[in-house]
Amino acid sequence: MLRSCAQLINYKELIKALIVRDLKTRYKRSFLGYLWALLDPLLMMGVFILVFGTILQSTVDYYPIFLLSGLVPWSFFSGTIQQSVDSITRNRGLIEKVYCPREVFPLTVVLSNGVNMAFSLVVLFALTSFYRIRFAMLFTLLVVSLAILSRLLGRQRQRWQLPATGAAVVGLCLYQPDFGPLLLLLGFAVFCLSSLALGLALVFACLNVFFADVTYIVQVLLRLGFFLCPIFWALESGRLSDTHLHYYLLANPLAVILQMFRSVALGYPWPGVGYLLLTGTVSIVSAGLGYFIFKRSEDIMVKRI
Amino acid sequence: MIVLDVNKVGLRFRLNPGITTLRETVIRFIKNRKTGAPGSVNGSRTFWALRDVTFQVHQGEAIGIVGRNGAGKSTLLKLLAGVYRPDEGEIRRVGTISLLQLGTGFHPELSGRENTYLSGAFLGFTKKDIDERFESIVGFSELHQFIDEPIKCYSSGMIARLGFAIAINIQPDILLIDEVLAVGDQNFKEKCQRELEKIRASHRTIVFVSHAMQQVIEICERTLCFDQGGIVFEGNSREAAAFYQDSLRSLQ
Repeated sequence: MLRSCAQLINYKELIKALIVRDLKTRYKRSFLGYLWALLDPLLMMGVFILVFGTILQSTVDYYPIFLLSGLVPWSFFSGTIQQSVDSITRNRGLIEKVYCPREVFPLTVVLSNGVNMAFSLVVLFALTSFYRIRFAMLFTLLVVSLAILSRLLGRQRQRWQLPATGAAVVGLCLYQPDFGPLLLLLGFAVFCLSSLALGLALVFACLNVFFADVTYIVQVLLRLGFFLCPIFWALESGRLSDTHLHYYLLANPLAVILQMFRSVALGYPWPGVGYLLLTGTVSIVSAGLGYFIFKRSEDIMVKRI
Repeated sequence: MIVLDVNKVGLRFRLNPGITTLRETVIRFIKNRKTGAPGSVNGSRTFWALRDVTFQVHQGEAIGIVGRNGAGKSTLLKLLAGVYRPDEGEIRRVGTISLLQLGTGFHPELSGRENTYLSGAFLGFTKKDIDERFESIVGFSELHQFIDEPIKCYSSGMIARLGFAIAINIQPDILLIDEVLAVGDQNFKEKCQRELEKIRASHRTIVFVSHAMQQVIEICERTLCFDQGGIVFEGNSREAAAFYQDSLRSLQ
Protein backbone atom coordinates (compact mmCIF):
# COMPACT_ATOMS: atom_id res chain seq x y z
CA MET A 1 0.00 0.00 0.00
CA LEU A 2 2.84 2.38 0.82
CA ARG A 3 4.46 1.56 -2.50
CA SER A 4 1.35 2.37 -4.48
CA CYS A 5 1.11 5.58 -2.48
CA ALA A 6 4.68 6.51 -3.39
CA GLN A 7 3.83 5.75 -7.02
CA LEU A 8 1.52 8.74 -7.01
CA ILE A 9 4.57 10.97 -7.38
CA ASN A 10 4.93 9.68 -10.94
CA TYR A 11 1.50 11.03 -11.68
CA LYS A 12 2.03 14.56 -10.44
CA GLU A 13 1.75 15.97 -13.96
CA LEU A 14 -1.61 14.29 -14.33
CA ILE A 15 -2.82 15.51 -10.95
CA LYS A 16 -1.77 19.04 -11.84
CA ALA A 17 -3.55 18.84 -15.19
CA LEU A 18 -6.70 17.48 -13.56
CA ILE A 19 -6.76 20.26 -10.97
CA VAL A 20 -6.48 22.83 -13.74
CA ARG A 21 -9.25 21.04 -15.62
CA ASP A 22 -11.45 21.07 -12.52
CA LEU A 23 -10.90 24.75 -11.91
CA LYS A 24 -11.32 25.68 -15.54
CA THR A 25 -14.53 23.73 -16.10
CA ARG A 26 -16.04 24.90 -12.85
CA TYR A 27 -16.26 28.52 -13.98
CA LYS A 28 -15.93 28.02 -17.71
CA ARG A 29 -19.33 29.16 -18.78
CA SER A 30 -19.92 31.85 -16.20
CA PHE A 31 -19.47 35.51 -16.97
CA LEU A 32 -17.54 36.35 -13.81
CA GLY A 33 -15.28 33.30 -14.05
CA TYR A 34 -12.72 32.94 -11.29
CA LEU A 35 -14.22 35.85 -9.41
CA TRP A 36 -16.85 33.41 -8.20
CA ALA A 37 -14.24 31.75 -6.02
CA LEU A 38 -14.05 35.03 -4.09
CA LEU A 39 -17.68 36.04 -4.40
CA ASP A 40 -19.16 32.75 -3.27
CA PRO A 41 -18.00 32.86 0.37
CA LEU A 42 -18.88 36.55 0.58
CA LEU A 43 -22.40 36.08 -0.72
CA MET A 44 -22.87 33.06 1.49
CA MET A 45 -21.75 35.16 4.44
CA GLY A 46 -24.21 37.85 3.41
CA VAL A 47 -27.08 35.38 3.52
CA PHE A 48 -26.11 34.13 6.95
CA ILE A 49 -25.57 37.58 8.37
CA LEU A 50 -29.05 38.44 7.21
CA VAL A 51 -30.60 35.34 8.76
CA PHE A 52 -28.63 34.80 11.93
CA GLY A 53 -27.14 38.21 12.58
CA THR A 54 -30.11 40.43 11.81
CA ILE A 55 -33.18 38.27 12.18
CA LEU A 56 -32.07 35.90 14.94
CA GLN A 57 -29.81 38.55 16.55
CA SER A 58 -26.75 36.52 17.36
CA THR A 59 -24.72 37.82 20.29
CA VAL A 60 -21.33 36.62 19.07
CA ASP A 61 -18.71 39.36 18.68
CA TYR A 62 -17.52 40.14 15.15
CA TYR A 63 -20.28 37.91 13.84
CA PRO A 64 -19.47 38.34 10.10
CA ILE A 65 -15.92 37.16 10.62
CA PHE A 66 -17.02 34.50 13.03
CA LEU A 67 -19.37 33.18 10.34
CA LEU A 68 -16.92 33.37 7.51
CA SER A 69 -14.15 31.62 9.47
CA GLY A 70 -16.56 28.71 9.94
CA LEU A 71 -18.05 28.80 6.47
CA VAL A 72 -14.74 28.74 4.62
CA PRO A 73 -13.50 25.41 6.03
CA TRP A 74 -17.01 23.96 5.94
CA SER A 75 -17.50 24.90 2.27
CA PHE A 76 -14.20 23.22 1.50
CA PHE A 77 -15.24 20.09 3.37
CA SER A 78 -18.76 19.78 2.00
CA GLY A 79 -17.72 20.82 -1.52
CA THR A 80 -14.98 18.20 -1.53
CA ILE A 81 -17.28 15.45 -0.32
CA GLN A 82 -20.09 16.37 -2.72
CA GLN A 83 -17.86 16.52 -5.77
CA SER A 84 -15.85 13.45 -4.94
CA VAL A 85 -18.86 11.18 -4.46
CA ASP A 86 -19.25 10.87 -8.22
CA SER A 87 -15.62 11.56 -9.08
CA ILE A 88 -15.10 7.97 -10.23
CA THR A 89 -18.35 7.57 -12.13
CA ARG A 90 -18.00 11.03 -13.70
CA ASN A 91 -14.57 10.18 -15.06
CA ARG A 92 -15.43 6.77 -16.42
CA GLY A 93 -14.48 7.90 -19.93
CA LEU A 94 -10.93 8.42 -18.76
CA ILE A 95 -10.78 5.49 -16.38
CA GLU A 96 -11.85 3.06 -19.07
CA LYS A 97 -9.28 4.33 -21.49
CA VAL A 98 -5.99 4.68 -19.69
CA TYR A 99 -4.48 3.24 -16.57
CA CYS A 100 -3.74 5.61 -13.77
CA PRO A 101 -4.07 5.11 -10.03
CA ARG A 102 -7.76 5.90 -9.65
CA GLU A 103 -7.30 7.67 -6.34
CA VAL A 104 -6.06 10.65 -8.36
CA PHE A 105 -9.69 11.57 -9.04
CA PRO A 106 -10.86 12.04 -5.43
CA LEU A 107 -7.44 13.48 -4.62
CA THR A 108 -7.82 16.07 -7.37
CA VAL A 109 -11.19 17.11 -5.98
CA VAL A 110 -9.61 17.69 -2.56
CA LEU A 111 -6.76 19.70 -4.07
CA SER A 112 -8.86 21.83 -6.39
CA ASN A 113 -11.20 22.66 -3.53
CA GLY A 114 -8.07 23.48 -1.56
CA VAL A 115 -7.11 26.06 -4.17
CA ASN A 116 -10.59 27.53 -3.84
CA MET A 117 -10.23 27.60 -0.07
CA ALA A 118 -6.96 29.51 -0.44
CA PHE A 119 -8.91 32.21 -2.28
CA SER A 120 -11.62 32.25 0.37
CA LEU A 121 -9.00 32.51 3.11
CA VAL A 122 -7.62 35.59 1.41
CA VAL A 123 -11.11 37.10 1.62
CA LEU A 124 -11.36 36.06 5.25
CA PHE A 125 -8.08 37.63 6.26
CA ALA A 126 -8.79 40.73 4.21
CA LEU A 127 -11.89 41.16 6.35
CA THR A 128 -10.07 40.46 9.61
CA SER A 129 -7.59 43.17 8.73
CA PHE A 130 -10.50 45.46 7.95
CA TYR A 131 -11.77 44.84 11.46
CA ARG A 132 -8.20 45.41 12.70
CA ILE A 133 -8.09 42.05 14.40
CA ARG A 134 -5.34 40.43 12.38
CA PHE A 135 -3.73 41.83 9.33
CA ALA A 136 -0.40 40.07 8.92
CA MET A 137 -1.90 36.83 7.69
CA LEU A 138 -3.35 38.49 4.66
CA PHE A 139 -0.10 39.31 2.95
CA THR A 140 1.40 35.88 3.39
CA LEU A 141 -1.70 34.16 2.16
CA LEU A 142 -1.92 36.44 -0.84
CA VAL A 143 1.63 35.60 -1.81
CA VAL A 144 1.18 31.89 -1.20
CA SER A 145 -2.04 31.58 -3.15
CA LEU A 146 -0.70 33.64 -6.02
CA ALA A 147 2.31 31.34 -6.09
CA ILE A 148 0.07 28.25 -6.18
CA LEU A 149 -2.01 29.75 -8.93
CA SER A 150 0.84 30.81 -11.15
CA ARG A 151 2.34 27.34 -10.86
CA LEU A 152 -0.95 25.71 -11.73
CA LEU A 153 -1.50 27.93 -14.72
CA GLY A 154 1.79 26.60 -15.98
CA ARG A 155 3.86 29.72 -15.79
CA GLN A 156 7.52 29.38 -15.10
CA ARG A 157 8.23 29.41 -11.43
CA GLN A 158 9.46 32.89 -10.59
CA ARG A 159 12.83 32.94 -8.90
CA TRP A 160 11.75 35.53 -6.40
CA GLN A 161 8.64 33.73 -5.20
CA LEU A 162 10.14 31.29 -2.73
CA PRO A 163 12.65 33.63 -1.08
CA ALA A 164 10.11 36.45 -1.08
CA THR A 165 7.52 34.28 0.65
CA GLY A 166 10.11 33.08 3.14
CA ALA A 167 11.29 36.63 3.85
CA ALA A 168 7.72 37.83 4.29
CA VAL A 169 6.97 35.05 6.77
CA VAL A 170 10.15 35.62 8.77
CA GLY A 171 9.61 39.37 8.74
CA LEU A 172 6.07 39.06 9.98
CA CYS A 173 7.10 36.60 12.70
CA LEU A 174 9.61 39.14 14.00
CA TYR A 175 7.17 42.00 13.71
CA GLN A 176 4.34 40.13 15.42
CA PRO A 177 5.63 37.46 17.81
CA ASP A 178 2.36 35.54 17.88
CA PHE A 179 2.27 35.24 14.10
CA GLY A 180 4.54 32.19 13.80
CA PRO A 181 2.49 29.92 16.08
CA LEU A 182 -0.73 31.10 14.38
CA LEU A 183 0.63 30.24 10.97
CA LEU A 184 1.57 26.79 12.28
CA LEU A 185 -1.91 26.35 13.72
CA LEU A 186 -3.48 27.35 10.41
CA GLY A 187 -1.26 24.87 8.59
CA PHE A 188 -2.20 22.13 11.04
CA ALA A 189 -5.90 22.96 10.69
CA VAL A 190 -5.72 22.83 6.90
CA PHE A 191 -3.80 19.55 7.07
CA CYS A 192 -6.34 17.92 9.41
CA LEU A 193 -9.27 19.18 7.38
CA SER A 194 -7.87 17.95 4.06
CA SER A 195 -6.84 14.51 5.24
CA LEU A 196 -10.17 14.02 6.98
CA ALA A 197 -11.94 15.07 3.77
CA LEU A 198 -9.64 12.90 1.64
CA GLY A 199 -10.40 9.77 3.64
CA LEU A 200 -14.14 10.28 3.42
CA ALA A 201 -13.89 11.30 -0.26
CA LEU A 202 -12.10 8.05 -1.12
CA VAL A 203 -14.64 5.88 0.69
CA PHE A 204 -17.69 7.66 -0.72
CA ALA A 205 -16.31 7.76 -4.28
CA CYS A 206 -15.72 4.03 -4.10
CA LEU A 207 -19.08 3.18 -2.52
CA ASN A 208 -20.94 5.31 -5.05
CA VAL A 209 -19.76 3.04 -7.86
CA PHE A 210 -21.58 0.14 -6.24
CA PHE A 211 -24.56 1.94 -4.71
CA ALA A 212 -26.05 4.99 -6.35
CA ASP A 213 -27.82 5.70 -3.03
CA VAL A 214 -24.62 7.01 -1.56
CA THR A 215 -25.05 10.34 -3.36
CA TYR A 216 -28.28 10.99 -1.48
CA ILE A 217 -27.13 9.65 1.85
CA VAL A 218 -24.10 11.91 1.70
CA GLN A 219 -26.29 14.93 1.02
CA VAL A 220 -28.38 14.24 4.08
CA LEU A 221 -25.29 13.68 6.21
CA LEU A 222 -23.76 16.93 5.05
CA ARG A 223 -26.93 18.82 5.89
CA LEU A 224 -26.90 17.29 9.35
CA GLY A 225 -23.21 18.07 9.69
CA PHE A 226 -23.80 21.70 8.86
CA PHE A 227 -26.01 22.09 11.92
CA LEU A 228 -23.96 19.88 14.25
CA CYS A 229 -20.75 21.78 13.60
CA PRO A 230 -20.28 25.15 15.26
CA ILE A 231 -20.50 27.13 12.02
CA PHE A 232 -23.16 29.75 12.70
CA TRP A 233 -23.36 29.16 16.45
CA ALA A 234 -20.56 29.35 18.99
CA LEU A 235 -19.47 26.54 21.28
CA GLU A 236 -18.81 29.21 23.90
CA SER A 237 -22.32 30.59 23.93
CA GLY A 238 -23.79 30.79 27.44
CA ARG A 239 -26.27 27.96 27.51
CA LEU A 240 -23.92 25.45 25.86
CA SER A 241 -20.82 25.91 27.96
CA ASP A 242 -22.74 25.09 31.15
CA THR A 243 -23.66 21.62 29.99
CA HIS A 244 -21.79 18.45 29.15
CA LEU A 245 -23.09 18.78 25.60
CA HIS A 246 -20.10 21.02 25.00
CA TYR A 247 -17.73 18.04 25.33
CA TYR A 248 -19.78 15.79 23.09
CA LEU A 249 -19.84 18.43 20.39
CA LEU A 250 -16.08 18.83 20.63
CA ALA A 251 -15.65 15.09 20.06
CA ASN A 252 -16.46 15.94 16.46
CA PRO A 253 -13.06 16.48 14.79
CA LEU A 254 -14.61 19.06 12.47
CA ALA A 255 -15.68 21.15 15.46
CA VAL A 256 -12.10 21.19 16.72
CA ILE A 257 -10.83 22.11 13.27
CA LEU A 258 -13.32 24.97 13.03
CA GLN A 259 -12.17 26.10 16.46
CA MET A 260 -8.58 26.18 15.17
CA PHE A 261 -9.62 28.38 12.26
CA ARG A 262 -11.31 30.75 14.73
CA SER A 263 -8.24 30.86 16.93
CA VAL A 264 -6.31 32.04 13.89
CA ALA A 265 -8.86 34.52 12.52
CA LEU A 266 -10.39 35.86 15.73
CA GLY A 267 -7.88 35.10 18.45
CA TYR A 268 -10.12 32.57 20.19
CA PRO A 269 -8.39 30.36 22.79
CA TRP A 270 -6.62 27.40 21.21
CA PRO A 271 -8.22 23.97 21.58
CA GLY A 272 -6.46 21.91 24.27
CA VAL A 273 -3.42 19.79 23.37
CA GLY A 274 -5.49 16.64 23.88
CA TYR A 275 -8.04 17.79 21.33
CA LEU A 276 -5.33 18.80 18.87
CA LEU A 277 -3.62 15.41 19.13
CA LEU A 278 -6.89 13.52 18.88
CA THR A 279 -8.00 15.47 15.83
CA GLY A 280 -4.64 14.99 14.14
CA THR A 281 -4.78 11.26 14.75
CA VAL A 282 -8.37 10.91 13.57
CA SER A 283 -7.55 12.82 10.38
CA ILE A 284 -4.51 10.71 9.54
CA VAL A 285 -6.37 7.49 10.30
CA SER A 286 -9.24 8.67 8.11
CA ALA A 287 -6.94 9.25 5.14
CA GLY A 288 -5.09 5.96 5.68
CA LEU A 289 -8.19 3.86 6.13
CA GLY A 290 -9.94 5.52 3.19
CA TYR A 291 -6.95 4.83 0.98
CA PHE A 292 -6.81 1.21 2.12
CA ILE A 293 -10.50 0.60 1.40
CA PHE A 294 -10.25 2.35 -1.94
CA LYS A 295 -7.23 0.35 -3.07
CA ARG A 296 -8.74 -2.94 -1.94
CA SER A 297 -11.86 -2.47 -4.04
CA GLU A 298 -10.21 -0.75 -7.01
CA ASP A 299 -10.15 -3.78 -9.34
CA ILE A 300 -13.82 -4.64 -8.81
CA MET A 301 -14.75 -0.97 -8.99
CA VAL A 302 -13.24 -0.50 -12.46
CA LYS A 303 -15.28 -3.39 -13.82
CA ARG A 304 -18.47 -1.95 -12.42
CA ILE A 305 -18.39 1.68 -13.55
CA MET B 1 12.25 -9.29 -27.80
CA ILE B 2 8.79 -10.04 -26.45
CA VAL B 3 7.07 -6.80 -25.46
CA LEU B 4 3.66 -8.27 -24.60
CA ASP B 5 3.44 -11.63 -22.89
CA VAL B 6 -0.11 -12.72 -22.20
CA ASN B 7 -0.20 -15.92 -20.22
CA LYS B 8 -3.44 -17.85 -19.57
CA VAL B 9 -5.32 -14.67 -18.91
CA GLY B 10 -8.94 -14.65 -17.82
CA LEU B 11 -11.29 -11.86 -16.86
CA ARG B 12 -14.74 -12.30 -15.40
CA PHE B 13 -17.64 -9.96 -15.01
CA ARG B 14 -20.68 -10.33 -12.85
CA LEU B 15 -23.70 -10.74 -15.04
CA ASN B 16 -26.37 -8.13 -14.82
CA PRO B 17 -25.69 -6.62 -11.41
CA GLY B 18 -28.03 -3.95 -12.69
CA ILE B 19 -28.34 -0.64 -10.96
CA THR B 20 -27.73 -1.79 -7.45
CA THR B 21 -29.25 -0.13 -4.49
CA LEU B 22 -28.39 -0.64 -0.90
CA ARG B 23 -31.79 -2.20 -0.34
CA GLU B 24 -31.22 -4.87 -2.98
CA THR B 25 -27.82 -5.72 -1.62
CA VAL B 26 -29.11 -6.06 1.89
CA ILE B 27 -31.96 -8.29 0.72
CA ARG B 28 -29.64 -10.41 -1.39
CA PHE B 29 -27.20 -10.70 1.45
CA ILE B 30 -29.89 -11.95 3.82
CA LYS B 31 -31.32 -14.33 1.24
CA ASN B 32 -27.91 -15.76 0.42
CA ARG B 33 -27.17 -16.29 4.06
CA LYS B 34 -30.37 -18.25 4.44
CA THR B 35 -29.98 -20.40 1.35
CA GLY B 36 -26.20 -20.38 1.61
CA ALA B 37 -25.94 -20.32 -2.17
CA PRO B 38 -22.31 -21.17 -2.82
CA GLY B 39 -20.20 -19.62 -5.54
CA SER B 40 -22.55 -16.81 -6.34
CA VAL B 41 -21.53 -13.38 -5.21
CA ASN B 42 -24.61 -11.48 -4.17
CA GLY B 43 -26.73 -13.96 -6.10
CA SER B 44 -25.53 -12.97 -9.60
CA ARG B 45 -23.81 -15.26 -12.07
CA THR B 46 -20.32 -14.68 -13.35
CA PHE B 47 -19.37 -14.48 -16.98
CA TRP B 48 -15.87 -15.00 -18.33
CA ALA B 49 -15.32 -12.29 -20.94
CA LEU B 50 -11.93 -13.81 -21.66
CA ARG B 51 -10.50 -17.10 -20.55
CA ASP B 52 -7.26 -18.96 -21.06
CA VAL B 53 -5.88 -16.44 -23.53
CA THR B 54 -2.20 -16.92 -24.30
CA PHE B 55 -0.11 -15.15 -26.90
CA GLN B 56 3.05 -13.13 -27.32
CA VAL B 57 3.85 -10.04 -29.32
CA HIS B 58 7.36 -9.21 -30.42
CA GLN B 59 8.88 -5.78 -30.68
CA GLY B 60 8.17 -4.08 -33.99
CA GLU B 61 5.35 -6.44 -34.84
CA ALA B 62 1.87 -5.42 -35.96
CA ILE B 63 -0.67 -7.90 -34.76
CA GLY B 64 -4.32 -7.91 -35.80
CA ILE B 65 -7.26 -8.97 -33.69
CA VAL B 66 -10.55 -9.87 -35.33
CA GLY B 67 -13.76 -11.41 -34.08
CA ARG B 68 -17.47 -10.91 -33.87
CA ASN B 69 -19.10 -8.40 -31.55
CA GLY B 70 -18.74 -9.55 -27.98
CA ALA B 71 -15.82 -11.84 -28.70
CA GLY B 72 -13.70 -9.98 -26.15
CA LYS B 73 -11.53 -7.82 -28.40
CA SER B 74 -12.04 -4.52 -26.64
CA THR B 75 -11.84 -6.18 -23.24
CA LEU B 76 -8.51 -7.63 -24.29
CA LEU B 77 -7.19 -4.21 -25.27
CA LYS B 78 -8.27 -2.80 -21.93
CA LEU B 79 -6.45 -5.61 -20.17
CA LEU B 80 -3.35 -4.92 -22.24
CA ALA B 81 -3.60 -1.21 -21.43
CA GLY B 82 -3.84 -2.01 -17.72
CA VAL B 83 -7.37 -0.66 -17.27
CA TYR B 84 -8.50 -4.06 -15.99
CA ARG B 85 -6.38 -6.36 -13.92
CA PRO B 86 -6.75 -10.03 -14.98
CA ASP B 87 -8.60 -12.34 -12.60
CA GLU B 88 -6.49 -15.24 -13.83
CA GLY B 89 -3.08 -15.53 -15.40
CA GLU B 90 -0.70 -12.64 -15.98
CA ILE B 91 0.30 -10.03 -18.50
CA ARG B 92 3.83 -8.76 -18.81
CA ARG B 93 4.53 -5.63 -20.83
CA VAL B 94 7.73 -3.85 -21.73
CA GLY B 95 7.64 -0.14 -22.45
CA THR B 96 4.96 2.51 -22.54
CA ILE B 97 1.54 1.63 -23.81
CA SER B 98 -1.32 3.69 -25.16
CA LEU B 99 -4.88 2.74 -26.02
CA LEU B 100 -6.64 4.54 -28.84
CA GLN B 101 -10.40 4.23 -28.77
CA LEU B 102 -13.26 6.13 -30.28
CA GLY B 103 -14.75 9.09 -28.50
CA THR B 104 -13.47 8.51 -25.00
CA GLY B 105 -11.05 10.32 -22.81
CA PHE B 106 -11.81 13.85 -23.90
CA HIS B 107 -13.57 16.37 -21.73
CA PRO B 108 -16.41 17.97 -23.73
CA GLU B 109 -16.19 21.44 -22.17
CA LEU B 110 -12.46 21.83 -22.73
CA SER B 111 -10.92 22.87 -26.02
CA GLY B 112 -8.95 20.58 -28.28
CA ARG B 113 -5.78 22.25 -27.06
CA GLU B 114 -6.59 21.74 -23.38
CA ASN B 115 -7.61 18.14 -24.02
CA THR B 116 -4.34 17.50 -25.82
CA TYR B 117 -2.37 18.59 -22.76
CA LEU B 118 -4.63 16.56 -20.48
CA SER B 119 -4.21 13.41 -22.57
CA GLY B 120 -0.49 13.95 -22.50
CA ALA B 121 -0.54 14.30 -18.73
CA PHE B 122 -2.22 10.91 -18.45
CA LEU B 123 0.79 9.36 -20.10
CA GLY B 124 3.18 11.22 -17.84
CA PHE B 125 4.10 14.01 -20.23
CA THR B 126 4.81 17.48 -18.89
CA LYS B 127 3.49 20.63 -20.46
CA LYS B 128 6.87 21.19 -22.06
CA ASP B 129 6.86 17.74 -23.66
CA ILE B 130 3.53 18.47 -25.29
CA ASP B 131 4.59 21.99 -26.28
CA GLU B 132 7.30 20.43 -28.41
CA ARG B 133 4.86 18.09 -30.13
CA PHE B 134 1.89 20.41 -30.30
CA GLU B 135 2.56 21.78 -33.78
CA SER B 136 2.79 18.36 -35.33
CA ILE B 137 -0.32 17.16 -33.46
CA VAL B 138 -2.35 20.05 -34.85
CA GLY B 139 -0.76 19.60 -38.24
CA PHE B 140 -1.62 15.93 -38.45
CA SER B 141 -5.16 16.35 -37.18
CA GLU B 142 -5.76 19.30 -39.59
CA LEU B 143 -7.72 21.08 -36.88
CA HIS B 144 -5.85 24.41 -37.07
CA GLN B 145 -8.87 26.68 -36.88
CA PHE B 146 -10.83 24.52 -34.45
CA ILE B 147 -8.15 23.64 -31.91
CA ASP B 148 -9.42 26.23 -29.41
CA GLU B 149 -13.07 25.24 -29.75
CA PRO B 150 -14.54 22.96 -27.08
CA ILE B 151 -14.54 19.28 -27.95
CA LYS B 152 -18.32 19.09 -27.66
CA CYS B 153 -18.52 21.04 -30.94
CA TYR B 154 -16.31 18.53 -32.79
CA SER B 155 -17.65 15.91 -35.15
CA SER B 156 -16.78 12.28 -34.46
CA GLY B 157 -14.32 12.37 -37.33
CA MET B 158 -12.56 15.39 -35.85
CA ILE B 159 -12.34 13.73 -32.44
CA ALA B 160 -10.90 10.59 -34.01
CA ARG B 161 -8.34 12.66 -35.92
CA LEU B 162 -7.25 14.48 -32.78
CA GLY B 163 -7.03 11.22 -30.82
CA PHE B 164 -4.94 9.59 -33.51
CA ALA B 165 -2.70 12.64 -33.87
CA ILE B 166 -2.01 12.64 -30.12
CA ALA B 167 -1.38 8.91 -30.00
CA ILE B 168 1.19 8.87 -32.78
CA ASN B 169 2.96 12.00 -31.61
CA ILE B 170 3.52 10.86 -28.05
CA GLN B 171 5.15 7.76 -29.53
CA PRO B 172 4.30 4.98 -27.11
CA ASP B 173 6.30 1.74 -27.42
CA ILE B 174 3.07 -0.18 -27.87
CA LEU B 175 0.06 1.33 -29.59
CA LEU B 176 -3.32 -0.36 -29.13
CA ILE B 177 -5.84 0.69 -31.76
CA ASP B 178 -9.53 -0.11 -31.40
CA GLU B 179 -11.60 0.61 -34.51
CA VAL B 180 -10.54 4.23 -34.84
CA LEU B 181 -9.85 4.21 -38.53
CA ALA B 182 -13.48 3.35 -39.20
CA VAL B 183 -14.77 6.93 -38.99
CA GLY B 184 -12.20 8.87 -41.01
CA ASP B 185 -12.53 9.60 -44.72
CA GLN B 186 -10.41 7.85 -47.32
CA ASN B 187 -7.80 10.57 -47.23
CA PHE B 188 -7.36 10.34 -43.47
CA LYS B 189 -7.29 6.54 -43.50
CA GLU B 190 -4.45 6.55 -46.00
CA LYS B 191 -2.57 9.08 -43.92
CA CYS B 192 -3.02 6.92 -40.84
CA GLN B 193 -1.84 3.85 -42.65
CA ARG B 194 1.31 5.65 -43.70
CA GLU B 195 1.88 6.67 -40.07
CA LEU B 196 1.37 3.10 -38.91
CA GLU B 197 4.00 2.02 -41.42
CA LYS B 198 6.37 4.57 -39.91
CA ILE B 199 5.66 3.25 -36.43
CA ARG B 200 6.55 -0.22 -37.52
CA ALA B 201 9.67 1.01 -39.24
CA SER B 202 10.80 2.53 -35.94
CA HIS B 203 10.49 -0.85 -34.18
CA ARG B 204 7.45 0.03 -32.18
CA THR B 205 4.56 -2.35 -31.76
CA ILE B 206 0.95 -2.16 -32.90
CA VAL B 207 -2.05 -4.16 -31.75
CA PHE B 208 -4.82 -3.50 -34.22
CA VAL B 209 -8.50 -4.34 -33.69
CA SER B 210 -10.75 -3.95 -36.70
CA HIS B 211 -13.67 -5.34 -38.61
CA ALA B 212 -12.20 -4.17 -41.91
CA MET B 213 -10.35 -7.26 -43.10
CA GLN B 214 -8.60 -5.44 -45.90
CA GLN B 215 -7.00 -3.04 -43.42
CA VAL B 216 -5.97 -5.84 -41.12
CA ILE B 217 -4.30 -7.66 -44.01
CA GLU B 218 -2.52 -4.50 -45.14
CA ILE B 219 -1.27 -3.49 -41.70
CA CYS B 220 -0.63 -6.73 -39.84
CA GLU B 221 1.31 -9.83 -40.82
CA ARG B 222 -0.12 -11.95 -37.99
CA THR B 223 -3.69 -11.98 -36.73
CA LEU B 224 -5.57 -13.56 -33.85
CA CYS B 225 -9.19 -14.51 -34.32
CA PHE B 226 -11.32 -14.37 -31.18
CA ASP B 227 -14.61 -15.99 -30.41
CA GLN B 228 -16.46 -16.18 -27.09
CA GLY B 229 -13.53 -14.99 -25.07
CA GLY B 230 -10.88 -17.26 -26.50
CA ILE B 231 -8.45 -17.47 -29.42
CA VAL B 232 -9.88 -19.73 -32.13
CA PHE B 233 -7.32 -19.07 -34.84
CA GLU B 234 -3.81 -17.67 -34.92
CA GLY B 235 -1.66 -17.14 -37.97
CA ASN B 236 -1.01 -15.24 -41.14
CA SER B 237 -3.44 -12.31 -41.56
CA ARG B 238 -4.73 -13.51 -44.94
CA GLU B 239 -5.53 -16.96 -43.52
CA ALA B 240 -7.04 -15.49 -40.37
CA ALA B 241 -9.29 -13.23 -42.43
CA ALA B 242 -10.38 -16.19 -44.53
CA PHE B 243 -11.03 -18.24 -41.40
CA TYR B 244 -13.05 -15.43 -39.84
CA GLN B 245 -15.13 -14.86 -42.96
CA ASP B 246 -15.80 -18.59 -43.25
CA SER B 247 -16.96 -18.73 -39.65
CA LEU B 248 -19.24 -15.75 -40.25
CA ARG B 249 -20.72 -17.41 -43.33
CA SER B 250 -21.35 -20.67 -41.55
CA LEU B 251 -23.37 -18.77 -38.97
CA GLN B 252 -25.75 -17.27 -41.50
